[in-house]
Amino acid sequence: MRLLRREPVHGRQFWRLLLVLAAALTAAVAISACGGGEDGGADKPKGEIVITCAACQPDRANPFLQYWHEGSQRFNRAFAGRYRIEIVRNQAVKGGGDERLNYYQRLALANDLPDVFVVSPPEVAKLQRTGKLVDWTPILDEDAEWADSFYEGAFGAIDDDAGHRWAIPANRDVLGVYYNRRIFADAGVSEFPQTWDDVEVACRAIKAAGKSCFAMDGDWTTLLMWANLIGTQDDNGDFLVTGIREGDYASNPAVVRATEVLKQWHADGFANRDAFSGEYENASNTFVRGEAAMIANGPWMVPYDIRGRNALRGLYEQVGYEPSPGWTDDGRGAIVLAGEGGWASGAIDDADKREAVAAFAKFMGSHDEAYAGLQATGSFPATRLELTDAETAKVEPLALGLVEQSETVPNTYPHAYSAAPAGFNTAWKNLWPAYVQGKMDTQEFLQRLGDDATSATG
Amino acid sequence: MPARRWRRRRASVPRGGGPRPPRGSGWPVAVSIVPGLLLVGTFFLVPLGVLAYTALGDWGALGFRFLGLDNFEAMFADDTFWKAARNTVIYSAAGVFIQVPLGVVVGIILAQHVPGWKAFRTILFIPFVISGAAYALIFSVFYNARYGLLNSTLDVVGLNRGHDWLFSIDTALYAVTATSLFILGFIIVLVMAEIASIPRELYEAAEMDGASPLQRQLRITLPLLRNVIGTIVLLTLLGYLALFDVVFILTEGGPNDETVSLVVYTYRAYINGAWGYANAVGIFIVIVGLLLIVGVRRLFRIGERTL
Repeated sequence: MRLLRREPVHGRQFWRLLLVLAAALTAAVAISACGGGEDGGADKPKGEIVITCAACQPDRANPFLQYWHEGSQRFNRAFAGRYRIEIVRNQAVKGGGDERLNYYQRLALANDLPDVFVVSPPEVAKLQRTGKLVDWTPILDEDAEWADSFYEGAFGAIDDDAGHRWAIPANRDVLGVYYNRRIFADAGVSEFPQTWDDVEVACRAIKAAGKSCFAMDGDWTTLLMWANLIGTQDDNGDFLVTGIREGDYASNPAVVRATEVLKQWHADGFANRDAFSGEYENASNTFVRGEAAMIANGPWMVPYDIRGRNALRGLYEQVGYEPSPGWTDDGRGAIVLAGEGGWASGAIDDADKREAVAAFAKFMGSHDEAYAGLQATGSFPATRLELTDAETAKVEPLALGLVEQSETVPNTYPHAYSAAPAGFNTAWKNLWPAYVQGKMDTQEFLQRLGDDATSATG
Repeated sequence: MPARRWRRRRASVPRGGGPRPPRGSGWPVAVSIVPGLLLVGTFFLVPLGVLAYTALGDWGALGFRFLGLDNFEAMFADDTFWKAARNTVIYSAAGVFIQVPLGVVVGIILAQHVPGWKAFRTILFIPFVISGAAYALIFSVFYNARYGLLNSTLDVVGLNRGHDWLFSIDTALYAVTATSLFILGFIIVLVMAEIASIPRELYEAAEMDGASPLQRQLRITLPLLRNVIGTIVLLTLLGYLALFDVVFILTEGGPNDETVSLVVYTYRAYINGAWGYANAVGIFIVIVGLLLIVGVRRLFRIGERTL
């Protein structure tokens, strides 16, 4: 104040200051506008169609994102001057799960969905209701060769009840159960159990030998086993395909039976001590450090965990990979994730962009790219892949063996996440520990699981 | 303006005010606050308005539909909401009745410049500068049932039962509550700064009157810390009212909602696409926050001078 009283700001000085500030602001806006997207600074050749991709950012910690990024760069080179992918970076996409869905929902509300991005079946179910997703049905109908290139059932989790196809499936994986032969042998278990009764016998022996029978996390790996216990029952119906969407779990006998068996395994001490943390790393580390005999997971576990830095030396040679045991000798099963990741598009108003997105989806499903994806992620493509002998020799034998076995197992079914309501994951992680600790009975657990999975607050 | 009149005006300026600027300099001042007003309007008032309005509707990816007070009715009828409110009260109470007194006592002790006080102050300040997320991650490892430091320590004394501290219904709330209780650095620094401003003559006079060291702290230091303790209590309450990162990273509010806080509850609604409902809870949190500000200010008479 004293300064103001002694040296009042003169009008001219003030306006000069204001002018400088305005110029600086204008310059900042101009510079930021020039930045554009990741490739925004590049001159756009005449006729080039630029599409935005929200699943193409590099991420060395996420093999799928990294592969899609590299694939998008190869696409840019292959279609230089015609199509170009511009990367949209966002942390929510990296994280996946509920944050990713919420991010896309906000973009849908703002009419700003990316031209191409990857979604899971529950995300497709939510996003298609906004009316902002491209319906691929007519595009696929016009291109029979492309439509026929996919495995049968590849669209199963993506199609809605009216048969609309809201995404192009990127992967088709078979998930089984890894087991550690050395732990089995040390416990006197000679072979991988064929039935759930055999599993219990094996687990008692493994526990007596001082190891955990299962590596679980209260989330992903636990739910894989839950799906196996449900999917291998004759009377499971279509629960994992459609029933799980409705939230009425308590009245399904197959679900009740599976849930109680899974709970009993925990009560009997068959799982690792930190089996409720919701952290996948806790389960995977338990297995790769040789502390647990079995873990349910997908083929990508081999390159990133079983052959990873944390794994015991020589672990890979001790590991087998089998379809799930069943309730009877001839009732084994495998989780088949068809269309777990699908290419969706928000380019509903621009035919040129839809054409570019279709070209990209075809490119990613082409033989060379599908094979590159298989090598990079351990995950199989949704398109039929005819491998040469030389290529087959380079594919992970554990994964390949399971795919071959999956063609003969009597039961195949999706994972619980594939069709579950968006709140299912949060509700399961919240309620499962309490149920296992005996704080609620099976009926109450399943009732609340269904209610919370379909409610706003999970 | 004549000097006499100016002095008179200055004398009548209410507490916290200042002298009036000279005539003719008002318009640049008025213009200069425009950017500030724009910022407050853009980043505070407009979002607050959006929050208040959208709390009255079903707002999600499909658009907005006005519902009136339905969200608030649903919120007050939801058991999980009350569990979240209860937990938030427990976290806040632990903060006010354990964390704050502990920090004040440690601050008073360190203000006596006991040997090693600088090292202690630095060590105790470290948890405050670590982000809540990183702090929570450290504690998730600490509490881990299989390899955590807590169970390993109990193992040494033969008490390890492999307890899952964070995901057992019986201990989850205590484990999460304990996580934040020892973040004392900010409290200590505020208390020490306030003590440094207390005239030494007061202590010397009390000492001459025969007051013991404990009496000097109880009769002089503590009453004179009223303002800063009130501020600390207010900040602690508002901090726990907005508690999110620690709870979310450690337990996501589970098991069975035993640790869910109001903000985690809000986040769940938001992430499930019920943005209007989430904003209704947000409005509730804002109102509680305002009531806390008014209540604590009055209780501690924050802003009133003691000396």
